[in-house]
Amino acid sequence: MLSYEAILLLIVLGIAISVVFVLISKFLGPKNPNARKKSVYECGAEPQGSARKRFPVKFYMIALLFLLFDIEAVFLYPWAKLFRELGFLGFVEMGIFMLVLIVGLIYAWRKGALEWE
Amino acid sequence: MTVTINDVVVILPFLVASGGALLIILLDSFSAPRTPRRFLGGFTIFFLAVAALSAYIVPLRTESAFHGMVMMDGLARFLSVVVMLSAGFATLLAMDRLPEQGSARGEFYALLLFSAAGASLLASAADLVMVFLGLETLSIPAYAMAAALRRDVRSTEAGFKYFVLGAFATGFFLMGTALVYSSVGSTALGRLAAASASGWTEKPLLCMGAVMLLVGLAFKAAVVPFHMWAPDVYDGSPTPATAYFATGIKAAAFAALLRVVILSLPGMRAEEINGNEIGWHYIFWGLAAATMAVSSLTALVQKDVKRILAYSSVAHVGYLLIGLLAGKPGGAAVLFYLLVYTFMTVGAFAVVAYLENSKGGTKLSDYAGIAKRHPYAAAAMAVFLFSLAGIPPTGGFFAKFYLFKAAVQGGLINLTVLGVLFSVVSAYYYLRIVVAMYMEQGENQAVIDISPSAAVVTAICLCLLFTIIIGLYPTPYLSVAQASASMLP
Amino acid sequence: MTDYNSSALVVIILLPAVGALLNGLFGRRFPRWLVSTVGCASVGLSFALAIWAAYFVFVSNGEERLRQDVYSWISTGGLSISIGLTLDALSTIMVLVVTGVSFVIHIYSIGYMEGDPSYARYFSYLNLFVFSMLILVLGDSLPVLFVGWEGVGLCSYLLIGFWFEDPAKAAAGKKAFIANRIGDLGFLIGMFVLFGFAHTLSIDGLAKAVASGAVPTVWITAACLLLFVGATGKSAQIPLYVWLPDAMAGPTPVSALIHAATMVTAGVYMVARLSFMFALSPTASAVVTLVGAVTAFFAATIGIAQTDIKKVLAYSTVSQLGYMFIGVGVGAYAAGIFHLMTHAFFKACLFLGSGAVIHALSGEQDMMRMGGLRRKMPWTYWTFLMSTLAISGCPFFSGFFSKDEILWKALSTSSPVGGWVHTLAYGLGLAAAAITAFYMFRLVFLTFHGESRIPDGVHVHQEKPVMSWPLAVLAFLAVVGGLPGASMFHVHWFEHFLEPVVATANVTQKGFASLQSSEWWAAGGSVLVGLLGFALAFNLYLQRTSGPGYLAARFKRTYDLVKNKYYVDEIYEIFPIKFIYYLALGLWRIVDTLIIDGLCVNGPAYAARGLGYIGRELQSGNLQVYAFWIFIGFSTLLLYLAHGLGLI
Repeated sequence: MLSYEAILLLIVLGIAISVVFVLISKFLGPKNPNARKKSVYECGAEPQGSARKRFPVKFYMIALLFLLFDIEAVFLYPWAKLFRELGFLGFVEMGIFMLVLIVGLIYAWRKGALEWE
Repeated sequence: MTVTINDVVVILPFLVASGGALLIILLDSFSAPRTPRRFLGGFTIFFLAVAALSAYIVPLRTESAFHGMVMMDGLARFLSVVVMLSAGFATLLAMDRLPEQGSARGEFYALLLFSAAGASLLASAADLVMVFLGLETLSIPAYAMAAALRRDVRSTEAGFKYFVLGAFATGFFLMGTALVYSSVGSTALGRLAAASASGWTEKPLLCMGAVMLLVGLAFKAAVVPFHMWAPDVYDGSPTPATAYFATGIKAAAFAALLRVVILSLPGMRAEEINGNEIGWHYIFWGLAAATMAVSSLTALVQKDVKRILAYSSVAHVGYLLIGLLAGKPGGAAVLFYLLVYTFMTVGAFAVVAYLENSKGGTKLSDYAGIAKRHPYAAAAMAVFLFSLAGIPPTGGFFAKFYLFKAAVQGGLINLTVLGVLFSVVSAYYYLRIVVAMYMEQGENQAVIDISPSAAVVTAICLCLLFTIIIGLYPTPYLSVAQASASMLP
Repeated sequence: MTDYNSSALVVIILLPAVGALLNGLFGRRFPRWLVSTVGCASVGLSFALAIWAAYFVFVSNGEERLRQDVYSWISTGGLSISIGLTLDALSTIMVLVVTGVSFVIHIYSIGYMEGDPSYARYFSYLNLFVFSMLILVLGDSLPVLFVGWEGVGLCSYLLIGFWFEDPAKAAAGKKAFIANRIGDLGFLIGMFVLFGFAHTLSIDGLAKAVASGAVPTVWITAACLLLFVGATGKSAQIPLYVWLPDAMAGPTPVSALIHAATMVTAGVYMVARLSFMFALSPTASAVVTLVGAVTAFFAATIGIAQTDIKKVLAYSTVSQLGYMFIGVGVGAYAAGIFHLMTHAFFKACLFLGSGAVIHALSGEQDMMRMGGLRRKMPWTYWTFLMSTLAISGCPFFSGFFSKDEILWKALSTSSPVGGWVHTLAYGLGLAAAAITAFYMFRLVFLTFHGESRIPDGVHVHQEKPVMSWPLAVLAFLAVVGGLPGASMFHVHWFEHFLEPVVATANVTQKGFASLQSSEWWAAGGSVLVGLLGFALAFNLYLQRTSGPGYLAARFKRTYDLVKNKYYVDEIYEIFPIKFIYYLALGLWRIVDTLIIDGLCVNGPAYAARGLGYIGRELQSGNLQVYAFWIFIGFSTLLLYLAHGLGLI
């Protein structure tokens, strides 16, 4: 069990540091609240209505697709770096990987998932 | 890093099934939206057949391929074929029933193929990571299949429940893998066997990890108390999907249980320590007893045929768990049982699919007097139910016979007595359906109006044929199962 | 004995099964001609194939046999049941008789059942019967034989109750079924006894085991007697014969085929098939002999006073079966089978003839309302007369040779149990022969001769050719069928043909047995008593027609006793049936309703149902609860392991 002490230490330190920072700002920071300051801050725009409302499913669809191809890009970087070492076999494997994702993209496209309206 | 042709051959069933799924996605994408998607079912059956055949034509390779990740032994081969059979029947049901119930889309077939591919990978996995990969490839399409009827509240509910609880159980499995790795230093199943052979009682992390692996797999197999999702999901999903969940996924889950628990952690079978007897033997004993008891008793008070069949499928898990404990003859009996169980359960669900329509029609009261209006369907249903109850001369009788025989040989007398006792209880709820069909007067005659469905009828006939043939002449099927289970301890 | 493999055997069996399936499943949609074609052709082809297969056995004089292993049904551990077929000399005779007579009767049925609404169902059952009967005679082990045994019983039940709208006919079907079940129980226990000692039930295996002494003699006797209980049920012997006369409720061709020519002889076939066991048990053989002899005599006397034409023939069948059992009981297995064959010819012909009469009179079965039909139905009359001569033992007709062979064997041998056994059997058999001649000619005279007593308004139909030709074929066989075994003319072909497959009995030949002249004297004796019976019938029913009434009044008590079949049905009604009924009533009221239903069945059932409700409550549909249960399950397993490992 000895080898896990470092992890435990990391957890404890992480919690301690965040708690300490919150406490410091609480005690040291000046407090002059007014109405504008107490309102919700959102990129400078006025908040309208509740945040807990239903979003169109299209947002989720785009988000999922983004996630998918984002991950694809993440895989492509190390492969590009090691291209010579991996050789032809690596090329084929990556080709299959891309092929599968491209089939998915075609599906999303044909089914109209990329059209906003 | 090299990959040889031999490596590729081992995962041929997986490659064929997933390649087929990709092709079906493309076909579905480029077909006109109004074209019926029935023809995709034909493609699906073709790919499933090729996948099953490829499992049988490749030579057995018990040494693992891809650097110890997968292998093709008798177990993998047999269960791959069972899964492909189950998926093929589900396709037949889907071709007729899904358009009828308002889902005319083609994804269902691709999902089915992906799931079958995952099951095949799971059956041939030789490493915990591959087990996990197979498990996920198997499950994620299944969640979507459960929710295939998007406008049906119960179907979406089923999909959601299956997904959330499935993810929960997967978490257990993954955590178990991590703990086992931390204790043994490897995820290869072969290394696990060596590490668990001696001194496992000294390794609490291994124990905890093993239990978590068990929970993850027991969820997929619907073992009590990890079964709670099963009745709701089986009931709410479209019947073709239910037929696949109850047979194909169950077969895959038992493949994983055999691989991970029985084959890879044989050392943990039973040990006496500090006067306490612990080990798989006792855990499975309790799980089997609980599974048989809870499912059989709860099935008694159900009022929906699909739900009765759902509880029945959980009850059969209980019998199968007995087989897992009974060594090599038990393993052969489990494989044989899974084969017969696939035919009779798919057959029963196929009759349900045949008789239901968009307005439902799976209530026990809907089945009252059905024998008069649909004598052939009722007769087929009666055969499947008799087989499920284990009444000769059906295949179900021999399946139970060999299972209990193996259990008695393995010294599991008490458990066998329990098993026989609960089979008697199960006969009650199976016969309740038969009684409703043949001896009761129908109240709402109009509920069940049936549109012609050639594919469903084909599925019913094939299942009927095999249920009866195996009952009359079980020897060849049994000997295949025995050969496939030869690597079991 | 040499074995040859042949896959023709299973085809012989399966052809009628295919016919039964086709007519049973699609018959209602078939036109009539197709139903009859399927029904007759399947049996006809089976017959043709049987002749072809039998040819191989014939040319080898019974020394060779054909075998086929169809499949091994279960083979696991100690239990191995394989299904095989054997065509040896004995089954050759049986197969030819079964398929041949069946074929003729199928043809006849086309005419007889013409107007029946359930035409296809009839042919389907009839084909199914042939299928079962072929399994019975070709099976190479007792379980296979038993499958056929039960199968023919089932078909018999279905066909007796063929017109099940009539409760009396449905009841007759039930009676047959129950009487047979009682016998079958004996058969089953007999099989269990044999399996317990020999560890096999194949006929060859049993023969080996018995020869090697693996089965103690006392258990051979027990097994033989138990199997014979089965035979008394199927072959209508005392005390289980009561179902056969009632079985006449079925269509007449069925009576001819099942209840005269084939099925009821299954018991005789079984004894001959297992002759290697019966030969070793003098006690069992003596019991078989005596039961057969008493039945032969007893049933013949009942036949005297019946007025229903089919009932007379039914009691005659019971009586003739008694003869066959005398044959196999005294060790003359070939003679018993020989009589089985000739009886199949002449009795089938008699039944079909009576069927033609009944058909012509639109369903009339009472002989008192017949008479003078000789001129109106010449075909029927002449064929019927030929068969009557055969059954009465008229010299040179088939029945003469076969019956005398049996009586001669009974007279000329002596059982180890005691000399009186065979002598008594001979005496009763001889008396029965006289009575047989009497009641058969009484039947002929009442039906075909004298003044017509047919009520006015009943139109007598002419026979149809499709019904006449089968009569002619069977009558021809009834005349010449005895020649292969005409032993008093030194024709011993039949006996030699069966020699390789039946055992040599444990009996002693009497001194005069080897003398040719004594066999002639014995035959002369039987002919004489036959003539006596004939003369009496001639006198009473043709010359002095007031005679029967006078005699009935003079010996009223005896007449009533015989007329009412010795009140056996009534006695059975009181002793086993009422007794068992009240016993069952008591058991039902007290043991079943109160103890078993109340305590043992409903108790656990209600308890199970209650637990089921709890289980249903747990299944609330709430996702979090389900996840919670997964967690509970996991924690329990973890705590169990931790506790076991001593960590907590």
